[in-house]
Amino acid sequence: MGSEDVKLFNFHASPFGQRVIWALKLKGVDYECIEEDIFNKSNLLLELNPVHKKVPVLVHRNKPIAESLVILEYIDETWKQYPLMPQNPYQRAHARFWANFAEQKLLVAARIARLSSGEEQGKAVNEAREAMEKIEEEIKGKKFFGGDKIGYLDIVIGWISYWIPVWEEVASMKILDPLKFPAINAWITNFLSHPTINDTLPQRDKMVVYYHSRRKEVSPS
Amino acid sequence: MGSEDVKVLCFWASPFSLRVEWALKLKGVDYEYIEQDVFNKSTLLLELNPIHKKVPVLVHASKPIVESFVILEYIDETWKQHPLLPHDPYQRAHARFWANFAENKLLYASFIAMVASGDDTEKALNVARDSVEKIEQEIKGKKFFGGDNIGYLDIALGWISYWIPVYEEVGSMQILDPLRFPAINAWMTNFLNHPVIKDRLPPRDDMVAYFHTRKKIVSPTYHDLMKYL
Repeated sequence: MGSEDVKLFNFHASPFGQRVIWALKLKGVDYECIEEDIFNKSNLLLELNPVHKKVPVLVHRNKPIAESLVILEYIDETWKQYPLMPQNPYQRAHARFWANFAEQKLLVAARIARLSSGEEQGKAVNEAREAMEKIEEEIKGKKFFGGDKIGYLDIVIGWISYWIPVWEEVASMKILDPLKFPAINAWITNFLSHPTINDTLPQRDKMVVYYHSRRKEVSPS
Repeated sequence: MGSEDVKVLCFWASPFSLRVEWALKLKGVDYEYIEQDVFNKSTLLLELNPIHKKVPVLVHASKPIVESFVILEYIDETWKQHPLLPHDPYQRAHARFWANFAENKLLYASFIAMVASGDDTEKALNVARDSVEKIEQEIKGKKFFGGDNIGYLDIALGWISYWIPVYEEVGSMQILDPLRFPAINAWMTNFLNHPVIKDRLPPRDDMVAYFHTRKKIVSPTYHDLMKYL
């Protein structure tokens, strides 16, 4: 299957697009990456994702798939090498549950925290830490959420390892306290050390600039 | 597999627990129905779903699974008869996409429209109607979202056919205009007439009374919900 078969519409600083990149790379699937300016969206993107008008969009055999978690399941069902989801239905349900949990409870709170300040930020940081506490229990005693190998849940939660430290810097806050979350911090080290993960990370200084500007837009002080 | 192997913790007026029942019934899987008082949660519920403390919970071979969409996928993977999700990965992605869309865009908007007031009601109604318009395009020309048979997306969206008319009555509003959305209205009729679905709907009068009460309770603080629009 030639690389022209798989295209990914992405934005370099998007944690959602990064998930898709990690999944494709772990499976050794070639793809063409098309960078979108999300402040000046291309007509093509708007055609491919008319409902949400967002990245990432995966296009395979000319058919678009949107929503990163939906894309991950599609990738796992289409390319069978290096399975991301566990085989057993109960384990799969477990992975999906925690993916949704991190998305609803941690991601939302962390985003609010990186854009706000004062009391609002404090509240969001607390919510993010509460969510982290539960995730800490899940990773205790394991190298990866997937066990010995990186799996679906590692890819879904993986943004924590690289995006949260950037957001902490930009918004002068702390969520990932290594004393409080030793297991997550150990997992982060393992995750970021994996060559495939490490190889495709966006440039940190570009990300810091981007997230600073997002924060300034919302709270100019 | 005896019925004691499968239990579902439900609440009679919850569209989420009814989805799970629909899926099990379509597959002919016996289960024990355990009603929960969601305003006075049982120790059992809190033990089985400590993180969210919500229904539905499916318990199979003593293991709990929570979150209705996660449960639907578990059911489809565990009992292979009457497949709910399509076979083809692209069709599966399509079904999952639209299930998430309705959950994020229509579910909250329709409830908020019922409990809000003034301009906020209008705002919520617009979001709801825009969502319905997109879903209308998806069902055009099809008997069910799943094709000739009820599938995953019918089950995920099925609440629309029964809960939204109740919200419309309680909120004195209209979302599912039959002139504007003929395809969805046709689908609603097909869906509600399906023997498995028809058999298992909560009494409408009880639903109307229940949501009148919810409206009274939630209305004073509905502003907290506006962020979900």
